[in-house]
Amino acid sequence: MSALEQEAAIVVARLAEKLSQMASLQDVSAQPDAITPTSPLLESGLMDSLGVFDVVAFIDSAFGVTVPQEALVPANFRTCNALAGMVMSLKCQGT
Amino acid sequence: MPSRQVSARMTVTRLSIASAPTPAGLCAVWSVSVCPLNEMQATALLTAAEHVQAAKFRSARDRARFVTTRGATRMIVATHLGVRAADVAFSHNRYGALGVAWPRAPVQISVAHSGALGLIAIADGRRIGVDVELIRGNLPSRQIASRWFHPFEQDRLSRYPPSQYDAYFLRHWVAKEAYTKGLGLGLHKRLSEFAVDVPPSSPARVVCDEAGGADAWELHLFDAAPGYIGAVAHESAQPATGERGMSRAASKGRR
Repeated sequence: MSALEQEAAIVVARLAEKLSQMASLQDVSAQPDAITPTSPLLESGLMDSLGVFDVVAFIDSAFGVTVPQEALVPANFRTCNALAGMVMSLKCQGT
Repeated sequence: MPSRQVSARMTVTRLSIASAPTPAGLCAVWSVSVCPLNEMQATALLTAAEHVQAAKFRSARDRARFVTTRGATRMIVATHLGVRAADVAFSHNRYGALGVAWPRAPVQISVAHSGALGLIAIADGRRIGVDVELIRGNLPSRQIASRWFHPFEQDRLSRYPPSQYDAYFLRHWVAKEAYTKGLGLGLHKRLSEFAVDVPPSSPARVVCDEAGGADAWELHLFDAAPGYIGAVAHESAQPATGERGMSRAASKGRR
């Protein structure tokens, strides 16, 4: 595994942990399913619009990037893998 | 709070919002609790395509939320239009907002859910948007507000003590969400393009919008259920007369 792939795997893992925390806070009465790299985030209702901005704030601070308005499109928020792809792209661009 | 039974066992509750009946027709918000009984009744109201969509949810909780809210929405629209639930068809606009495709009628709807609560807003001949949030902590409220909110809202929020900040952030959030959903744009509307004012003791309002038309909207905040804050934005029955009540601070704060 290359250094870039290792970094991407860490990004996915940290995002999955963040999303699991969000899911548990949304419904303390139920045991939420584990978030996998391919779990649907938007279609499932797991991440609503406030959740999008919660995750964006997390990404900004955790990965040292700035998610621009233009990146707030459904394709970037569908899964953990999609989010990680956006993060890695922003890191490469140095934003 | 008045409650109305709309099917054999499924119960939805019409919420009291500060919107007087107008000649323009109905403008109402209903709530539905996401519980096993309501989910069971709502399941019978789904179309074949919606059953397929529901089956895609991995989480039972998320599936229950979709099924219950969609079933309640179909029941409320059918009751309002005087048709069978099975005759109601929904569509989505290009931004994902739900609408009534059939029967053809000038009825507008908006749906929101959070936690174990769903809200359904319905209006005759006017655009309407609704949002609800489970009141919770651990949100990066200051980070979100400072980066994405209008300066007018940032100024308002800065006046609240730290212990009240998150609560007032959520008031702003649901109000902004309801407005963007009413416009039919959702997240495609830049949050810093417009400002809402949600004071604790006077009516909420859309203060300004770079795209114009803020004065054509009414905004109401309400307790959707214990532990939930809700907001509905709908076009006013009165014709707009210009950007009303925009404060100097809001004007200066545009960016």
